[in-house]
Amino acid sequence: MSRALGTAVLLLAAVLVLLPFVYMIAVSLAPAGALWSGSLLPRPGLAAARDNYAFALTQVPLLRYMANGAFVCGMILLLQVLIAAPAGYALAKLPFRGRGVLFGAVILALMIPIQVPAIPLYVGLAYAGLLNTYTALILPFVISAFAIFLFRQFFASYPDEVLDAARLDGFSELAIVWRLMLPAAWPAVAAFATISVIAHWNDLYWPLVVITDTDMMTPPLGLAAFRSSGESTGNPGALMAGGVMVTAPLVIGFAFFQRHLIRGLGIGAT
Amino acid sequence: METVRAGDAVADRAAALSIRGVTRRFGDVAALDDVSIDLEPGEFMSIIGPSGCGKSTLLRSIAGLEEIDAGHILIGDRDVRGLRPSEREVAFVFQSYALYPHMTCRQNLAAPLMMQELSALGRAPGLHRLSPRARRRRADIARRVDRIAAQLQIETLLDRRPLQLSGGQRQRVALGRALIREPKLFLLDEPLANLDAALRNTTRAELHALQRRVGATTLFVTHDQAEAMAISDRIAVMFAGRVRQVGTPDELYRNPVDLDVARFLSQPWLNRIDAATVARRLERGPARPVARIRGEALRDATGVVAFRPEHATVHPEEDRATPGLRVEVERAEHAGSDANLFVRLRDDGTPCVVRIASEGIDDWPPGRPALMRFDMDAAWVFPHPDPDPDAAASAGPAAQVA
Repeated sequence: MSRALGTAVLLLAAVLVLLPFVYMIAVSLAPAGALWSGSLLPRPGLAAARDNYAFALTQVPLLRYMANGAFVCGMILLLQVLIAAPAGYALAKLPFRGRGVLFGAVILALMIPIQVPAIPLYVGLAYAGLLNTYTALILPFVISAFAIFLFRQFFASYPDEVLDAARLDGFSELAIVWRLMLPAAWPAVAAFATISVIAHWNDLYWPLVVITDTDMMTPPLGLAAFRSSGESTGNPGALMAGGVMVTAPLVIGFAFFQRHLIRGLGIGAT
Repeated sequence: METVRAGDAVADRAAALSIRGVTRRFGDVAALDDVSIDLEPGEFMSIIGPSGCGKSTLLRSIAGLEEIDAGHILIGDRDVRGLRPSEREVAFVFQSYALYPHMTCRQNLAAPLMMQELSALGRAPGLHRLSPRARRRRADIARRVDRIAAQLQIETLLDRRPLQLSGGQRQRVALGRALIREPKLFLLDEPLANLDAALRNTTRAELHALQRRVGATTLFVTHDQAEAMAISDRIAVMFAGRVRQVGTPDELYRNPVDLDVARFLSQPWLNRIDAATVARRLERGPARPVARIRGEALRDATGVVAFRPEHATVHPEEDRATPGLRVEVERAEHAGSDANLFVRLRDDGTPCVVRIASEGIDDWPPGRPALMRFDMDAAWVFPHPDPDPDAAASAGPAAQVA
C-alpha cells in the first residue's frame, strides 16, 4: 500500500521533470502553426523539423557557442582537478601547522555561492581588461572548495603505509598525488567531473555578467540572446531545436556517467 | 626450499648498520631513548619487544620515515640523517604489504626502478618510445622484474592486482618489490604477522634462506619471540624505548639480563617465586640441603627466583625424597607434544606453569596436590621488579596465555 503510494509519487515527480523535455522536443519537431492547433502535443512533421534545426544552426552561431562551452567547461575542470588534488592530499595526509583551520576555511567556502563575490570579481576582471575573454569565464571557478573537500575525504582513507612505501620507492609528493592518489580516487574524480561540467555548461548567470560579445557566448547565454534578439519570434520551433541541441550532450554524457556519479558521492559521504 | 648458493648475489652491497644514541620523543614520551645497535654486513638481527616498545619507530627512523631528535644512523659509512627515504638505499617490507592497489603486480615490482632510474619523460606512457635511452632502460627494468618474479615464483601472478591475491602471494610481491632494488639494508616490519600459522612457518624459513642467499644486512621487527629465535643471528630486546639486551638467541635464552627480558622470552609464562619462600621450602627435611641457584646460596638472596616451565617438573605429593615446592594443580593445556600444567603455590598462591609430556596430562586433574621442582642451574635470581604498569597487565599466567 505505502509502496504503491511511493511509486505513484515518484512517477508524478518523474512526469513533472520530464514533461518540459518532451514538450521541447515535440515543439522542435513541429511546424510553428501546429503549436496553436489545440492538442497538447503538437504533431511533428519531417519538413518542419528540418527547417527548425537548420534555422537554429544558421541564424545563430550555435556550434560556436557549444565549442565555447566545451572549451570553458574542459578548462575549468582541468584546472579544478590540477589545484584540488594536491590541496586535498595536503589536507588529508601531510601534517602541518594550521591544517585544521585551513580545512575549516574550505568547508566555510563551500557555503558561499558565486553571487556573493560576483561584484568584486566583475570589477577586478573589468580593471584587468579581461571582460569578454575565456579567462573571465574560467578564472573565478578554478579553485573549487567542493573539489578540495571531496578529494580530501577520499584521500583520507588511503592507507598510510602505501604512502611510506611510495616515499621509499622514490615517489615525490606530487608523484604520489598524480600516480597513486588520483587513480585510486577516480570514482570521486568522475563524480566531480559530472557535477562540474553540468554546472558550468548550464550556467547562465556568470557568462551574463562578463560576456557581451556574441563570439564568446556559451550555450545558455547564446540561447538567451537568440530568444531576445527577435530572430526567433514567431518561430518557437527553431528556439526549441536550439534548446535540444544544447541539452543533448549533457543528457548523453549523464547517461554514461550517472553510475559513477552516484558511487563517487556515496563513497565520499561515508 | 631454496638452496644457499654462495656468491650469487649482492653480498658485496650489504652494508654495516650503526645506530648511535638515537632518541625520538613524542611530547613527553621517549619512543626511542638513546638506542645504540651495531650490525655487521650481512647480519640478520631481530628486534623484539612488547607493543609500543619503539621497535617499529626505530625501523621507520632508519628508513627515514620518522625524524629523530638526537643521535646518528650510519648505513655503511654514510650518515643518513637528513637524507630522504629513497636516498638511503634501504628496502622496507610493511606488515600490511603496502602494495599499490590500482597497479598490477608487474607494475608494483617495477615501481621503485621506474621512479629512480627513469626521467619523467621515460615514465610517461607512450612518450618513452621517443627516446632510445628510455626504451633501453625500460627493457632492462622489464628483465629485472621477470628475474625477481622467477626467483620468488610469482611469474603467474604478474598481471593481477594485489586485491586478487592471497595474503601469502601479496607478501611475496612485497618482498620482490623490496629485493628488486638490491638494497644495502633490509627492514622488515612484522612481515609475517598477517599470515596464517602454517604459512607463517614456511614463509619464515623461505625468508631466512632468501636473506642468506642475497646476503643483505637485515633488521627484522617482530613481537613473536619464537619467530625471532628461529631465524636470527642476533636479537635485540627493547622495552619502553630502550634496548635492554642484544645477543644471540642462545645467549638471550640462557642469560637474560633482567626479569623483563627473561619473561619476554618464556612461553607461555616465566615462573617467578619470592626467593625467601623458595629457600624456606627447599631447605627442609632431615638433610637440610643448602639451596643454591648457580652456586649462590639462596637464603642470602633477596629478590625473585625465575625459571622457565620447561625447567620445572611435577611429582606426586608422596615423593619426598628430595625437597620440592608444594603446589596444587589448577588446570592443564595441551600444546601439541607438550602440555602446560598451571599450578599454584600452596604457601602464597603464586601461579606457576610446568611443562609436561602431553601423555601425562591425565595424571594431573585439577585440585590434585603435588610437589614442584626445578633445575637450579637453569634458574636465575633477579631483584624484585619495580611495580610498573607492564607487569600489572600480565598479572597471572592465565591472563598472559589468554
